[in-house]
Formats: sequence, C-alpha cells, structure tokens
Amino acid sequence: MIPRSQRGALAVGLAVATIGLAVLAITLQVQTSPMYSRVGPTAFPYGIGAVLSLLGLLLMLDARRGSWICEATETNADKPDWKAIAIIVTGFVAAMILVATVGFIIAATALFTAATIAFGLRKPVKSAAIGFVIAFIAYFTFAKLLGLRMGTGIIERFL
Amino acid sequence: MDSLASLAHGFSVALTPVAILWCMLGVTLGTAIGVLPGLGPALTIALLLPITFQVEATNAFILFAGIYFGAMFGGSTTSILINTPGESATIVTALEGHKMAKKGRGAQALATAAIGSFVAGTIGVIGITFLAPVVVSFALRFGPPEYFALMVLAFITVSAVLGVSRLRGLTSLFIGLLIGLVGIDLQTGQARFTFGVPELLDGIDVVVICVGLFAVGETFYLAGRHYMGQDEIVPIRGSLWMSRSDWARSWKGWLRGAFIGFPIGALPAGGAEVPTFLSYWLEKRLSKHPEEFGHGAIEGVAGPEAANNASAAGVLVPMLTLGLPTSATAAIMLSAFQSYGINPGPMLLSTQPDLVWGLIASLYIANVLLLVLNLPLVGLWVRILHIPKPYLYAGILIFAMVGTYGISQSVFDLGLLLAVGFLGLLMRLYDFPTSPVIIGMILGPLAEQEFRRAMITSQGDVTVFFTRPLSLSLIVIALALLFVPPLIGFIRSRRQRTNAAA
Repeated sequence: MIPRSQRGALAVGLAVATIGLAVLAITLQVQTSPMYSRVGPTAFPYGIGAVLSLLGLLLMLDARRGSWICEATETNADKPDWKAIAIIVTGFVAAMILVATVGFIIAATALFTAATIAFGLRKPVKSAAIGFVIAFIAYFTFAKLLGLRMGTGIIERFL
Repeated sequence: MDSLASLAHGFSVALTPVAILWCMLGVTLGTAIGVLPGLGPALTIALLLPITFQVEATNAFILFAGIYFGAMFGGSTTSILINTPGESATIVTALEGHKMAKKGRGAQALATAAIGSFVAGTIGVIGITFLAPVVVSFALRFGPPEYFALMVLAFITVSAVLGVSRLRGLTSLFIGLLIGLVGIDLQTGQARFTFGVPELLDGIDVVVICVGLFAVGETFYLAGRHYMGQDEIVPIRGSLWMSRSDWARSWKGWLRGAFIGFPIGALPAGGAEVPTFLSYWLEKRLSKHPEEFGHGAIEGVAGPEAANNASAAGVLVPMLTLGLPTSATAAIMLSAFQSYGINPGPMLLSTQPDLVWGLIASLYIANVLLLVLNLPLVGLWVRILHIPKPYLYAGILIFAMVGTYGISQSVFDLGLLLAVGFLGLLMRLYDFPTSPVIIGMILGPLAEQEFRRAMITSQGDVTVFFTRPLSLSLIVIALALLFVPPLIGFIRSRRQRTNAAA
C-alpha cells in the first residue's frame, strides 16, 4: 500500500509518463516527406516524447521511494482549499464567455470579483466596483494609449 | 578602446530625456511588481511584451532594462522587510537582511543592498562592455554543431545542476521543449501538436506561459492557502544612514560579490543562485565577525546582493552575443527581440549597436535611478504590500488577462492561460522549478534549428557533434554535469553501506 501522501506525487509521475507516450503516439501519425527522412520535423518530438516517458517513470520511482519532498507530499501541511481555486476557475470561464460578448471591461470585472471572493472577501458589490475601475483603467491604458486591439463591447464602444 | 567608444555611444542613446523617462518608468514598475512576493522581472516584462507592437525597439529595451533591475531591487526589499524571498537568488539576502531589519537596521540592510547593487551593476556593465566583443569574436567561428552543443550545455545547467531535484528540473525543461514544438515547423511547414486548432498554428505565445505560470499559478496557490497578507512587515526606524563601520564592512563584500557574480552569470550556465550562495559563504569565511552571521551580519547582505546584480548583468552576455538565454527573464527578452524580427547572436552588436549599447547603458542608468529615487522612496514601495491581498491578486489577474487577450484577442488563449495557471499551481505544490519551462520553450526551437542545420551540412551524420573539438568538449561537460553528481552519490552510499556492513 502506497502511503496517502505519496499518491499525488505518483499520479504526477504517471501523468508525465503518459504525456511522453502520447507525444510518441502522435508523432507516429505524422506523415513526413521522405526528403526529410533523416532529421525531419519528427526527430525532436520523438526525442522529447521518449525522454518525458523516461522522466515520468523515474518520477514515479521517486514518489514510491518517498524521496519526493515537497508541499504536496508533506503530510502535516495544510491541503490547499480547492473550493477557493474553483471559484477563480469559474470567474475565468465567465470572463472567457463575457469577453467575446459584452467586452473586456465587464469580463475583467467578473474575473476580479470572483478572485476577491476566492480570497475570502465577502463584499461582492464593493469588489465589483473596484474591479470595474481597474479594468476600465487597464483597458483605457492598453487599448487607447498604447493602441492594443482589445476588442469592443457595450462599454468599450463609447470610449 | 573600441568598446568604450561603443559604450559612450550607448550612453548617448540612453541619456536622452525620452530614454531616461522610459528607464524611470521601467524601474518604477519593476520595483512595484518586484516587491510583491512571488512576482519578478520575467513576469513584469512578459506582461509588457504587447507594447513591442507600439513602442520603438530601443525604448522598449530601455524599459525592460529598468524593469529588470527594478524588480531585483524590489525583490531584495521584500526579502529584507518581510522575509519572503520572491526568487531563489534572494534567499540569501533574507537570511541576514531580515535579521537586520528585526534589529531595527532595515534601512542599513536596504542601503547596503542598493549601493552594493549599484557597485556590482557598474562592474557588470564594464564587464559586458569588454567581454561581449570577445565572446563575439569567438562566436563568429561557431558553426551549427557548436551552437547546438552550447544549447545542450545550457539546458543541462539550468535544469539539472541548479535547484533541488535534477529529475524535476529536467521534467520542467522537457515540458518547456514540448510547448516550444507546438505550431508549424518552419523548415517543412509541417504542423505539430496543433490538434487542428487554428490558434495553435503560430505556436503558443511565451506571454501565455509566463503569465500563466507566474501570475495565475501564484494567484491559485495563494487563494488555496487563504493567504490574506498577515505578513509581518518590519517597519523601518532609526537612522537611515549607514555608519562608518557599515561602510567598512560592506565595500569589500560588494566588490567580491560582483567579481563572483559577473563571471558566473556570464557563463552559458547562468543562474544567480550559485554566485549568491558562494558569496555568502565567502563573506562568512572572511568576516572579522563570523559570530554575527545568522543574527544580521551586514556582510551577508552586501556580498550576495552584489553577486546577484552582477550575475544579472552577466546573463546578458550570452543572451546578446550568442542568443543563449540562461534565465527566464533573459528568455523573455529574447522573445521580445524576436517580436521585433531581431535575432540575437554574434552579429547583433554590429547590426544593432543603438539597441545593444543603449540597453547596456540603461542598465547602468537604471542602477543610478534606483539609488537616487527608489532607495529614498522605500516606504512607498512597502506600502504596496499593505494593499489588501484579495484586491492585489485579483488586480494581477486583470493584467494577466490584458497581457494575454491584448496580443491575440483570442478566447482560446485565455483558456490556455487558465490551463497553464493550473499547471503552475501543480508545479508549485510538487516543487518543480518554473524557469526551465520558459527557457525550454524559447531555446528549444532554436536548438532544433541548429541541430537540423548541422545535420544538413554533415549529410545526416550524427558524429559531427563529436568530431569537432569544441562541440565535443561542450557535450562532454554537459554529460558530466548530468551524470557525475548522481554517480558520486551512488558510490558514496554504496561505500557507506559496505562500511556499515564491515
């Protein structure tokens, strides 16, 4: 039985090895012109895939041996609060939907508000107001003063 | 004297009022972001990469030079006043600096750090001025095999030699190399790892990776820790001036630190950790007050801070002359060069003298500005740390969004930013270094290009890397660095076991 604290590390090693194997599998599908047969566009992907698989394997050994010492394998350390992280992810997804529909400023305000809630602040109206001001200034500086194209939206239209 | 003339020309570029304003902006922004725990120069420059579309190259690099040194100054401030070193290079500063601050000598710790950085920066700039042309004359003889071997060496040193675990360092590097593969292969037009997504054809932007790993990942991490910022910030009190004995105990450390830091930084291995620790160790050995170490010895701040700054200047030598970035910040700067269509390498000094020497001169000016503007304003910088953490990090997310959406207007890139942020969180929790990812993704495609060039000229003969003396020795060094330390560890543990048995 693998100690609980090492399971996460083992999973990380497994993930790295899986990525490595996936890279190899995908590269096998690539059809290359025989002109480049020696060192074509697949040479590096093969190498990187092979090394990643090997590294993943070695990481799993490290995890099993218990020699992988970090925050996540430390049994006494507090576990991260995944709920808080999920709130930021929600804010991000909301921002991705909003940015293409109602514009950058509102999208960024939503992200800001979600993040303050995730950090434990329970005043969404105040947060949204502050976020709006920051988003507005950021949009104005980068889009208007520096000429970055940041799309348009229901507020951006009037700027 | 040729180099001095070039440097003088650099100063004529960097001392125009406009250039000084850009430098001042950079130093200010850099310090402001550098004081935030966990955020450093690489992130700041990445967030401002979009300005390369609008701002002329020379001014952009003057701004970046200001950010580079400003962020380092900000990082030392945080290490000294709240003992949360933002990057590994300032860990040593925190050792003695924070103890000094607790004894009410925070101002002196900051002063010796700033003046030491200035001294080291001066030596560093002179060092670059004389070393860069030498490296160039050497590098002009390099062919693709030598470049490739050099890059392999840099890959090994940044991932496997520095840091806690060579295994995790190498994993980070190869994840970076994999990210660098995404997109259309420039030599054959073959799309790689694009999964039919049109946004991926141009490759993944380094801004997305850098901002995702450093800003979004850090925000996830802190939110998961309910970090509300109850850090104890040690107030600065008492005299702001360094006493005569402070000066006497500092100046040798500054010089020694600078002479340790610059050459190590200039090696294709890079990294500021080794020189700062080396300098700390040396100062401890040479100090007349070794008993004070661990309780706030000023030498322990003076030496490592100087070493840190000198190595930061040294890192620019391989970056500018060989196109070889050995730190995350240098990698981001390299991609800034690329976005101007400039490829750093031996020809850069002769084709872009305004840019290169202007950049070098503004490093110096940045140091002066830090000394005369930012040191007196340290109270202001510390106030940034009093902004409630929820607003601070939520605000950083807005700027992360600007940096990503502003370069591509792509919702897909925002999704990618989120995914990379999550990767950054996992890397943080499982203690993977992040810089090798950035270096791998920037340097990987260049290494592949050199490898294939070498293969074309040798008509597919791999031995080309082992028959040319220089490339052979570089590869031998790289392999030795990779395999010898674990081998020694293995033999040692075997011997211990047999001794125990006997």
